Amino acid sequence: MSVYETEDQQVEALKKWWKENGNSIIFGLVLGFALLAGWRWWQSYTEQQGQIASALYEQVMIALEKKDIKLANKFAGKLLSDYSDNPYSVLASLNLARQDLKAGEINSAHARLQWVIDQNGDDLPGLTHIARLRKARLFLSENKIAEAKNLIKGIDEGSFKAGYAELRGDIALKEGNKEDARKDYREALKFLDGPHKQWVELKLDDLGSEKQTVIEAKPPTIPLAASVPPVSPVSPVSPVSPVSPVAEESGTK
Amino acid sequence: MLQNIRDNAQGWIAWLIVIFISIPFAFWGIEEYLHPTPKTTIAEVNGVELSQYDFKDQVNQRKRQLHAMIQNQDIDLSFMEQEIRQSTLKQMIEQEVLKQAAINAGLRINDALLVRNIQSFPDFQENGVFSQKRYEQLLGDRAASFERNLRLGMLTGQVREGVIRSAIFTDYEQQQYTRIEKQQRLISYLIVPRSRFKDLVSVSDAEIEAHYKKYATQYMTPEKVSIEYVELSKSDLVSQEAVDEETLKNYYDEHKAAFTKPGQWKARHILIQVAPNATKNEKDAARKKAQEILAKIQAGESFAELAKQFSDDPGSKNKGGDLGWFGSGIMVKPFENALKGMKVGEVSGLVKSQFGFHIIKLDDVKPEVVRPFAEVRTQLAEDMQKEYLDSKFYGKVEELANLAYEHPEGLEELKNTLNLKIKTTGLFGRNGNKDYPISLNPKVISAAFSDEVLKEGFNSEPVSIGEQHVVVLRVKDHVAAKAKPLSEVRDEIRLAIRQEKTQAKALALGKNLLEQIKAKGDADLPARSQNLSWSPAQWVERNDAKFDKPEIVADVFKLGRPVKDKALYHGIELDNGDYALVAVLSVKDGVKTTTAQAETETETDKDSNKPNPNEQAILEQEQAIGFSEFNQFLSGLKANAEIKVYSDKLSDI
Repeated sequence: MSVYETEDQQVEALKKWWKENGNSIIFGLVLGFALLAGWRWWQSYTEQQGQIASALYEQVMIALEKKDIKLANKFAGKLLSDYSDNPYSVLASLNLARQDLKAGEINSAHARLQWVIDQNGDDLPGLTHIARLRKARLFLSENKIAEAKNLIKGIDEGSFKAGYAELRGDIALKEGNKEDARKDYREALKFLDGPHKQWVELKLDDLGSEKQTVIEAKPPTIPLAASVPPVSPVSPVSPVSPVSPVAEESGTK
Repeated sequence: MLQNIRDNAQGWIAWLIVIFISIPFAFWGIEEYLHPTPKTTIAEVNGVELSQYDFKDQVNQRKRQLHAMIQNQDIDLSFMEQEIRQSTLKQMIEQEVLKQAAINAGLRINDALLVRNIQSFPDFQENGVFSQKRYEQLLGDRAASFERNLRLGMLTGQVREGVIRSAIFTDYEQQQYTRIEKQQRLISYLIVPRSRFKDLVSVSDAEIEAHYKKYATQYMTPEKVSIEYVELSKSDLVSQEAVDEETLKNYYDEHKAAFTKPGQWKARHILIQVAPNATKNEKDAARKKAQEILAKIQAGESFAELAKQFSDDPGSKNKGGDLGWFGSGIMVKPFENALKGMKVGEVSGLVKSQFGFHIIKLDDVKPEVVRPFAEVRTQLAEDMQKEYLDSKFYGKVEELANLAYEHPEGLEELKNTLNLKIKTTGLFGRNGNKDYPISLNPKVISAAFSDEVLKEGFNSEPVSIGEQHVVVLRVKDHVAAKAKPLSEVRDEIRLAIRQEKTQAKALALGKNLLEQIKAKGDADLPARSQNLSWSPAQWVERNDAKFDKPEIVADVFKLGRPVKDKALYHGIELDNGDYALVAVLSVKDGVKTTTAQAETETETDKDSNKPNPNEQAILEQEQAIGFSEFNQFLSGLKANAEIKVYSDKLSDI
């Protein structure tokens, strides 16, 4: 920029510059503010929508807690019709499906889970996996093995490797394929911990987890071979009470 | 240039500057400028920083919870330090990931829910009712951040609960569960005892020496120290002289709130809602409607019925407008102001608030009760005495800490300045020595064996060994760990080697027997040839407490199922070194208890009001599965988030 000699010259130059660029600057400012305002409006709009859906969801959960199914359905109806694309609708559907199942309405439970799957929400994609796994387990419980298999065919398992592996194990077991079931349960155990891990371990153990080292042979001849099942299924009493001499010896080592 | 600005500061340039400066505030709020948080970042989740300050806070909170759980304030948790930090950080990151995902997905917590939650905290209640005064007293200017954190906690809680509570355990799975969990197996076993070989093994001196060299660290005398220390306890402090009446009075005036039981109202209301952006016509219509209702009430119609019919407040409408008992600060200002001027049973005129028009009926009042000075005088004197002693004690502790730090080479200065006694102990190791009770305190032990005290020979920091009881210690004598002479441990080593050898022989024979069973297809002959015999068959269940060899029970349930006329054989080492052969003869699957049985069970359990055991087990399974589903859900979110951990900041708090 050159040096101006007098203040008048400066003012003159400024005026000229403004004449050339003024319109675009004003236009830019107006556009900027409009965008900003629009963004703010959108923010407050989603805020508001989220809050209403949240309040409805809480009402559904409170009603379920109180076992007031009618009321729960009423709030859920509004939630699912007006805010179907909000994950609250998905969470509510999952909880209602459980309620249906408890009430023995398995078809309704299926429908609710299917609704969640159809939403295929990409905001919290895990919820779709959860619904799909639960639905497949329901099918299995109804002996609809083909449907269960179909539901999980070609699915990208994402972070639900444990869930899908366990399910494949359950399906294989139902089909009588113990070898595959064992393999699938072992796969699931790689990703699990806590009480659920114990459950899968139980299922695996029941298939004979130590199978490789087990030897099959004629039963030993035992004093008083007691093949009579116990009297009560809850507390079996050993039919032969005297302790064997071998056991005693080992106690006094 | 500056002169120019100053000259023009009153003119249009000044305004322009002000306007430009105010733009960010108009759009982004002022909060961040007023509450800058100290930022040393410990991790980042999608660019959101988790501050070291919060991390420290959470670690401390976790420790307090652990202490509360094991009900011991003095236990030293430093051995778990690393674990606590790692798990706290993991939890903070997961919480942040979940929070961001929930917010991006459009989940929100509204104010009403937040308020309801805050009001339900027992800490903020007085006599079972939320007290605004107490809330403000407890939180002060931290209220805003408390509310923000609570809101986020509730938000993530919604997702967590929503997933876990909706988990299912299908009929088929329940059947499987019962079948497996309640399964019984008919088993027999044969023990090859280690003792059988005790006369068949010998241990040479060379073997003993080799063992002694190989496991040298196992045969050492422990490192020991003796300490000298000074102690400071509140019980040694002399009480203050009697407090004069005026000081007590002043103290009473300052702490009046503590002796005041705030007043409460019990009221009902009818709300005719007016939306915040309502037009004048809408407002007038609402006012007219409210006036009509008011007229009906004045004409003697039931307030409760009218509330049910017309009130726009969903919370109280169905209860006949009843709001229950509440204290000051709960309701909006105009509402509370109206109440203040009302008598019990009276109905207000129209009260305008931000929600619309209220018609209020005051049902009952509990007046504010202030306990008079005379009544609380003794307690006041005690409180003051306690406060006095506390501050004196902590003053002394501070002095002690400073002196110990400034004169690290001995306790003389502490003794002389604070008029304390120097006490000493004899030698003790890392487990303490019961002849010197102070040496049993874990904090004292870890201080005595710390680098500063043991290696550098400095005074320790004040160590708290009880309620308002601290010590400063230094090491007097130190006996390093050293190897015990071979002659002293020879017998111990001989025994260990014998054990190893007999165990190996039992194992070898056991395996050999299994090979024979496999080869011959018969289990009797091999056993008889070694003069061993199979135990009588017996039924066992999982976790069978009546059976004294848990290793065997655990093993037999992993062997699969025998076919008809066959048994399954397997070998395991027992904890005591014996070897066991087990045989599964038969399996009996668990059966679900019939409805009749379940009913008799519930009959007997009626008083305890618990679900029957079967139902309980199913609920637990549901929870377990739900929890696992939630974890998989969370790891999916984590995989999609960009997470950075600055682990160098993890240890320096």
